[in-house]
Amino acid sequence: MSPAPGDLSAAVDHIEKVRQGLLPAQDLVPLFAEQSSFMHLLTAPEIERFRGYALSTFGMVGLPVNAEPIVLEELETGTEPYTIAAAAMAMLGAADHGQEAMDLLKAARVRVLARDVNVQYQRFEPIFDIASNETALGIIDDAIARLSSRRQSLPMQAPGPAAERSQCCCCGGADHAAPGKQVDPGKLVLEDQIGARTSFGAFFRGQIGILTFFYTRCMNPEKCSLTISNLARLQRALAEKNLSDSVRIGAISYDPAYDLPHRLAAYGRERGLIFGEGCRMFRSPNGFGEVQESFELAVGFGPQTVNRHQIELLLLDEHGLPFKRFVRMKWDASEVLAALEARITSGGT
Amino acid sequence: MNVDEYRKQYGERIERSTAASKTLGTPEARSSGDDSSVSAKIELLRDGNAGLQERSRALRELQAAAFTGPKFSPFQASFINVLRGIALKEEDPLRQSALEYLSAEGDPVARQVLTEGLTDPTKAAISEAKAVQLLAQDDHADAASIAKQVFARTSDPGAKEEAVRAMASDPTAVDLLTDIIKDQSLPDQLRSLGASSLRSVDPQAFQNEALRIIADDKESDALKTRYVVILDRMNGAGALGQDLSDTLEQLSSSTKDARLRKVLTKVLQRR
Repeated sequence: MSPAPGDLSAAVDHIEKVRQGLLPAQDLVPLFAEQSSFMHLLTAPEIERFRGYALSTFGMVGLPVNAEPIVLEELETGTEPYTIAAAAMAMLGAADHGQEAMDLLKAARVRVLARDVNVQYQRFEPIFDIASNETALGIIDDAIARLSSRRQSLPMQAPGPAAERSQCCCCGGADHAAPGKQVDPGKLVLEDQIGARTSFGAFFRGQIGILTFFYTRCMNPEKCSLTISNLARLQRALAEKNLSDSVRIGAISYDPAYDLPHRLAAYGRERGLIFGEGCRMFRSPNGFGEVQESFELAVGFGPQTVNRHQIELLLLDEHGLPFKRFVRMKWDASEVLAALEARITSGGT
Repeated sequence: MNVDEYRKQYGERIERSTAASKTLGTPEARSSGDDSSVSAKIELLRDGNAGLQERSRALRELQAAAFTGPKFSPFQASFINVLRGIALKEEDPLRQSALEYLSAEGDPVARQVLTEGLTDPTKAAISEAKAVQLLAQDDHADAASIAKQVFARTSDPGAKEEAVRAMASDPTAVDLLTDIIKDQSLPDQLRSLGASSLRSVDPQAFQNEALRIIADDKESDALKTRYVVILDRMNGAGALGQDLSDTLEQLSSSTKDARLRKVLTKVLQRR
């Protein structure tokens, strides 16, 4: 049974039951979905706290296979030492791990170095134990050492979690390419960075397109800021291949009430995006609900703004419908470019 | 806090930080062994029985040292641990300093202490004004809704000002901010802050209010001058709307205030 919206204590009870062996670890996985009703109206720090405590539980009871992408995502883009160290603990609960997982763990260690803190995972509260000397960095170092020795003792290496890195935790990697059933995205009203209004269909239909999501108040440098910077790089790469006129580029804000046109313009410009008829940033003046529904986006909202989201980049066909998704993990511009070129070459088939 | 006071305090902080940084970098400090020196300072900071002056100096020097990056990494966790301990201790005179540093780092303990103090004033660690200011550094900590509660209940002018500042990132505060601007019984400073926050969350609503104020005979010339300048900057040279132009022309011919007339002349000439 899923906790009621915003009911953090019920979610923590869930974790305690998993720790006591009364529930399987698998039962925690749906609670990580950003769009789950339980996450609704929690603040971002509350979600970090919950995720950290739940991830550390996987280190104690074992890591379910469909929770592995969550762990890898945290290692790749997490910023809170408490949650990153918990992801390192969770890795210890995995049956095996690949080299990429180890690389992510080492990269995460670098991010924690300058922000190390004392942590405790025995109880949900208090946040830290003043008498404890256990640090996030210490836990990560311990995980690296133990995982390294575990790998050395294995005669053959299985692919490990990295193989499933882009899978979805809510459905184990089912195809999300199909659009939502209730809302036709073509009719979505969008306002761009100069305040001009259009519809989703008017902008995206008739050509293939790149669609990504962001918000200007995102505090995680590994997510929105990097996504838009990488989008600008992708734009330059398309120009070098003379494909600028063949591909539409759009980025829609998760936070339309705050991300007014002047904020969109500044955010894109500062990250190297060159605006034009085929490249625009948008907000949905009627709210984000319909956009989220149309594309089944993994984003949740707290009392004031976004409380958690995945990295999401969609490649759209000539009808404005997704034919490929890059989600959760950082996407590689060359991989996106190759997918676009393949689509253009195949003539949309 | 007004801008001059803020600048003064900020300047003093930079000066202290620079001086502390120089102290840590002296040959004496280096020859005594940076590691033991940093550890000793952390222990001094932790020691509630040590002199306040010595502990304050240790805190400043540690804050400066924390900027040195990788060199400080081995001490980062114990430094934060000590600060968290101070932040949780009711009687510690360094409590506000610890909360200031931890808040800037987005520390969850600081956030919890500040939130508890604002929702239950009997648990307040520091003044309401300071707590709102620190909590508002993070848009994801629900500071805006707490700010609205503080604004409604507090009689402290400083806390009201900080609460209105915090609403600058809350699009749902448009109606409240509009009411604040309209309320002529409120201090000018508070109404101006309300205008500034409204401009951030809804520029169009701000322009409407500013136009209304400029045309209102009951408003002071000083306030009108401020709004004329802001509206001019928002619209850019030559881009004023007809409503605004008409209002300014009218005001220019009727005002007796020399400064306002001078500003109006400049703005209208640029059209």
